[in-house]
Amino acid sequence: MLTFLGKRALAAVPVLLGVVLLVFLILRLIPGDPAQILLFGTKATPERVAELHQQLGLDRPVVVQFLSFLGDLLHGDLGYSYSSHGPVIDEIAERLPYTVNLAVGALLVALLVGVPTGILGGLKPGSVVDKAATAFSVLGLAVPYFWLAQLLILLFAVHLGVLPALGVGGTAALVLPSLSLGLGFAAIITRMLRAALIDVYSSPYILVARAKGLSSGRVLVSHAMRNAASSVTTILGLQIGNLLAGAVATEVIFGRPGLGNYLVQQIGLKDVPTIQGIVLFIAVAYIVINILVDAAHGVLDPRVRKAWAS
Amino acid sequence: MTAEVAGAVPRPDRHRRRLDVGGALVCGASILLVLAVVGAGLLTRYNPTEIVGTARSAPSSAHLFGTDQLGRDVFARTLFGGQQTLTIAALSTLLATVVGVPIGLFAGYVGGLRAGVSMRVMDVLLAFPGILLALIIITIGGTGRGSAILAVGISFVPVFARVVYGSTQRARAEEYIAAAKVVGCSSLRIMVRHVLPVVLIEVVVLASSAIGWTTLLSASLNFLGFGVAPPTAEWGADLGAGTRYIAQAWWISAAPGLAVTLTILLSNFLGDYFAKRLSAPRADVVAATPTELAAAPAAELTTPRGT
Repeated sequence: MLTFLGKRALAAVPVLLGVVLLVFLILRLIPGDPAQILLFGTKATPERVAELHQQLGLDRPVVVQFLSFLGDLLHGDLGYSYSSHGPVIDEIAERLPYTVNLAVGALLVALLVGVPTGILGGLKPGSVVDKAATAFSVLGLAVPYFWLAQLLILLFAVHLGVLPALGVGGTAALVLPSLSLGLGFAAIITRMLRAALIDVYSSPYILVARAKGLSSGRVLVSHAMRNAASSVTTILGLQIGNLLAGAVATEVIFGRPGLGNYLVQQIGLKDVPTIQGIVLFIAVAYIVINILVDAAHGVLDPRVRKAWAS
Repeated sequence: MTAEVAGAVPRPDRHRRRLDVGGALVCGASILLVLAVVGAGLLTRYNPTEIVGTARSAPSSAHLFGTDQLGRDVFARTLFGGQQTLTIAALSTLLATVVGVPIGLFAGYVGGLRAGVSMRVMDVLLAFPGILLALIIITIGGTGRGSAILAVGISFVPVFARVVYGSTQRARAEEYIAAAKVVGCSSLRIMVRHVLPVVLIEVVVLASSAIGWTTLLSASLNFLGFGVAPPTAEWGADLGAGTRYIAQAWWISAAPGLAVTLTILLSNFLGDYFAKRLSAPRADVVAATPTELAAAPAAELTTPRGT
């Protein structure tokens, strides 16, 4: 198992380096002098520009600049925000809980809605229930989450007045953002799980399980789901990244002071070090989460371990 | 025996005819949507950026979808807004196709180190989930329509490259490719004349679904304020403006919201339709969402994705 995890992590190294390189290049790819860009909005006196050139090592070769950027990263140093003057890593740490809460809430919604609907659809393909499940997954993929958020606010906050639309006070304030971000992902889970179950139910081992007299519930839980679930775990890993990134618009609508909302503000302010820090943080978190999901996948499915052992 | 044959034959026919009705509906609706957006000026007498009524008045016979926060006609803004959204969506899909397909074709056919490197670059781009890569490009290129097209297009390059890479690799194993090699065709000729036509079927399917995803992404960018500048009408931007007035005037965002939903629905249906019609070998995977597409190689266990 450890070998599997080690190999999986090692395979991620080139991509991690590529991600760091691309994020490093953001500042260099913006047309113009990086020092001028960093001083955007402040008084860019020639002395200040020269000082910054020295400080950032902009006069050194790009390779050296990249290596020092990489070295700083390994020390957990993401540089300083040019709008708040604090370390970027602290700015991220301050806002991260709001984004994580939302991602976890949305994930719960996705699983609690997506898994039962997927099972109901997959058990009786072609039935009325299945048609409803399919309609849900088709619509769930089509309705943009930032409009869904507005519809949910209109229904639950404005008309029924049962849930708060804005703010971060307690669990109640988390319900609507989680629903608006999670329902689209629930639709994907429904679609995947339904297809996987229909596929699994056509295989001979299910027939055997039925023939030996197992109840249909038992067949579902201990036989069919074990195989069908792996399609969902794969999707989950990929979705968590989308939950972190999809939180951007959701946080803006619901006024949550999370990473996404902060990122949008900083893009407006052209605070490049902060943008780099947030983007890098989310991308690395996404890669690490996927390594962990693959590890979980390996625990659940011996075939995955074998594929990596060879 | 004849009875058996007669009994067997009508089935696929009936199947095909039923498919065509659904397909015709989807194609017809898509054409209507595009026509309505292109011919916006013929369908409404209002100028989308001109104040023509009381601010935030509810839908009425004078203003079919009501007026927005400034008193502009929402129906006109939705029709004209589609010109912006669908242009960004179409051009970015084109960009993703034109860049992604050759990368996937080359990497899938040539193989070896160079292919490995180009596909790793695609992996790096895919490591930025969702809207993040587009926001990076917005940071570099600034806001505006051109920048939005570039941002959305580049975000989908790796998706096209991956799909074409996979189908090229499968096509390469076919016997007719070996035959072409035997008769002395050059690699370039085989790629363009023998592999590309097969791969193009999947590209058509992918591109028709991709219009929906690029519509969503370009609307998201505009929603966040990184697209066309006000007062230009655009679905995402108008949805963003409607957020503030949702309690008093839900109709400001209702029409653009429905328009985005309809576009994504039609685009997904078109993808499904082409997948069935052109009988692409991996129709189920191709007519999927970008997340599912990215997951597909991982499901094959040989080249895990997400690294």
